[in-house]
Amino acid sequence: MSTVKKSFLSGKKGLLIDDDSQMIDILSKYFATEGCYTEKALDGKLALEKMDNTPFDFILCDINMPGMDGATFYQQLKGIGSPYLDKVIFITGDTMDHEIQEFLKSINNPLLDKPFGLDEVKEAIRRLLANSYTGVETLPVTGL
Amino acid sequence: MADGFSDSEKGITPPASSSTKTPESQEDVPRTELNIPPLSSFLVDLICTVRKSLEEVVNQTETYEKKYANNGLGECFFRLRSDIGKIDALFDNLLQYNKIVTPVRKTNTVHNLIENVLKKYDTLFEKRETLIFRRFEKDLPEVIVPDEQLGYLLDSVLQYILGLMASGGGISFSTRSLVIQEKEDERKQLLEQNNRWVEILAIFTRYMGSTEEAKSILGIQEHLTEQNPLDLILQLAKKMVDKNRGLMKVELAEERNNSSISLLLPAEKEGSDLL
Repeated sequence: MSTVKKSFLSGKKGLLIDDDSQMIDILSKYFATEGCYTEKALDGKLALEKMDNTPFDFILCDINMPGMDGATFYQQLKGIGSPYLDKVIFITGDTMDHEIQEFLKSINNPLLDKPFGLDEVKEAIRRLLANSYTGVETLPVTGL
Repeated sequence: MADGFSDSEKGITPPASSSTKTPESQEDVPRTELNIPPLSSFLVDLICTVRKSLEEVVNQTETYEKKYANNGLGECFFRLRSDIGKIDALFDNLLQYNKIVTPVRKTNTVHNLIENVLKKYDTLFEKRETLIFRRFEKDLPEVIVPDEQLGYLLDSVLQYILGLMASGGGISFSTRSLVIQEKEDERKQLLEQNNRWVEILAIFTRYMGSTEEAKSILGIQEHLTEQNPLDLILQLAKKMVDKNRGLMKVELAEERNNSSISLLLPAEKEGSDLL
């Protein structure tokens, strides 16, 4: 009997918010290979609309975006008392003005600094989910 | 408008009084390609409108020419049509001339070339799950490096990076303009010549050294040289940077840290970004 390791991302749902569609496409495909379902949004406003219907386990959000940026998106969540506040991982590294820096200092959310690789994203999500994370499950697989 | 005219009819007749001095030619200041003002867009629009009207006149004339072909009027309409053809050819020539002498303002060349190079490797990025990030400065000045050479440089840098990084990494391309006043170390001599620069910085994760997989993907033939082909790519790029009075700096770090390649290129002087 052989075994296959099931990724901690398997069965999870993520929301990817970034105006760089090429980047979120690659991320989305990668997450799919890990059994993780993702929704994509090009700015904070579109992300809020998507959040009405789907529950998410994590949200990957770029800080610097045209339209509603990451900080505003977070403030909006805060304004409505959203339970997703601590599920947001911010992507940083673009031009960081003083206001953005102050905003990032004021929150405890994980930050991913550009450029990053897939391993770093995965690690950030793993840490975010740590409360409910029970480790890599080893499932018996038959017929292989 | 050209329809209905033979080549000979399109020829431009020299002005009857070609020796007559125009107001421009009487000026003391010699007129060169640079100081001849291009036709204003209003004049260009006007010429286009007139040509359109002339085209309609020609069509009508052609109809009448056929209709009255059997009497003297047909010949008159033919001559009229020929004369309009000459005027049209003159307008056409004027517009062509205007196109050539109108300076073209280069904008966003560096960013466009970066995008071109990234597009070339799109499939490879997807295959190797490479994440691409951009951090472009708005209104970045143009650089003095010719476009073809800059394209080659960027392509070389990206090839080198892809050859060194493992799958699943990230690459960011950022640009910024800078004015360097301090004169130090290797930069001293160059900085004396130019103080306005553009930096193109490529930062990448997951540096693994030159891998066989990467070389295979990039189609690098190792047997062609005893030297590491990736190093050769970078050396050629560096020579090109040096030739353009720029600076290239490569910093390779451990896998967990970011590595970078910086291209510091002289920017065009302000107001000289016209082709």
